[in-house]
Amino acid sequence: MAKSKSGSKISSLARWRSWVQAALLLVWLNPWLHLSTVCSPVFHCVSCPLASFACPIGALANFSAIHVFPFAAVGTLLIYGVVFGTFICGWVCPFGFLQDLVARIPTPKFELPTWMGYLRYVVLIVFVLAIPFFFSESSPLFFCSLCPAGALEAALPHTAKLAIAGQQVSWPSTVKITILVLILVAMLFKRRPWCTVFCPLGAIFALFNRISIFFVKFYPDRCSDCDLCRDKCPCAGLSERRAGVERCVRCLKCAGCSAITVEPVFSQQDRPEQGVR
Amino acid sequence: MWAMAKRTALPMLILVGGIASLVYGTRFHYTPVVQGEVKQIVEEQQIEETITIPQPFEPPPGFPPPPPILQTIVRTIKVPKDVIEDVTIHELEPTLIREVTVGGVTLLASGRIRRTYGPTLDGQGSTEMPSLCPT
Repeated sequence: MAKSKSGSKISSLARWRSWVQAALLLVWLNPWLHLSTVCSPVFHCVSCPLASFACPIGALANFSAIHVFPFAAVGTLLIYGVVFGTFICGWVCPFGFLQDLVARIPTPKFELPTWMGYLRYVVLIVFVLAIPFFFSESSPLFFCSLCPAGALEAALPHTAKLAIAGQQVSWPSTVKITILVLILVAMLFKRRPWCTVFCPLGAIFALFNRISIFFVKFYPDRCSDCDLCRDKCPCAGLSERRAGVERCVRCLKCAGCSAITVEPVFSQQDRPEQGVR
Repeated sequence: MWAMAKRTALPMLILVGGIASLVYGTRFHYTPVVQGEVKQIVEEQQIEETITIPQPFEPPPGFPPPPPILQTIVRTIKVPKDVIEDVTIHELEPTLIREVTVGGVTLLASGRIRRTYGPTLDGQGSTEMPSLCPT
């Protein structure tokens, strides 16, 4: 791995990633910051007792159910997506942070085929947009009725709160809890299973990875084929060694050498070829 | 220079589009929402009333007074009454985001959007916006 000055800077920045994710929890989990009229750029349920912002996916699904175009939510996603791409997933999202923490448990980790990343678009189109639009929010396949983040952050805390207060407990749906349990178990054996296979928000941000203002650049001519970037990648995102690949969550673990850097779009150098080396 | 302009054109276009969409949504995008409001109306009611009509003449001295003459008449009175009336309000998108994400509004078969909460005459049902997502 050929070290460079910018590469070592970026890799030292990447070491702070967990701290950045933890610090940003104070923004997403802040009961004093009641901004449920504003969509955040992260996957976090608005019904969480500590939630400060509305979930953009929840807003898209619910607006689809009432047949109204969500200009504010779409605008928020366009702005964050085109500036940062999937940096949001790797550095900002609380559900991504949870998956990173669970992945630290030393269990054997498996990789899934790359094509499974496209399931995220199926989730986005079918469960977030189409089912609410055609069958309303009362459909059992409505995205929020299946969402594991909603189950973990909202349904379980409220059930516990009712039980502790001695009130009649309204149990969350079995399907939702089952999905949450399956995702939690999958987190032990696959890094970021929700992000790489199902997350509709990650699917939206991934669309911007090739054109975002801050982008991850891969220089094939500087690569010495040491394969360290492939070994370090938690999402197998760089397995094809393409800059701006959709599965990449831009954790920057791979960016320790001169072949991979983060540059703004205003950088004078041309974007390298997107080809496979 | 030309290469950089080409490279930045699409991201800048999307960024401007995103900002325009966000500003339009938060400042100018209103959605009509039907909600029930308590209104007081004045209703006319007809009531039956029995009145006593005075005797046309006094009985002679030493005679008992004749029984009173009773007559039932129908009178119209005005009574104030509370009713729930549908009112259309125009909600700005941020307000709608808060309401829709907790199930505070729903789409009717008629295509209109209606609040799921509001005042009721019998005191049943919730007058407060739900605080939790219904799912």
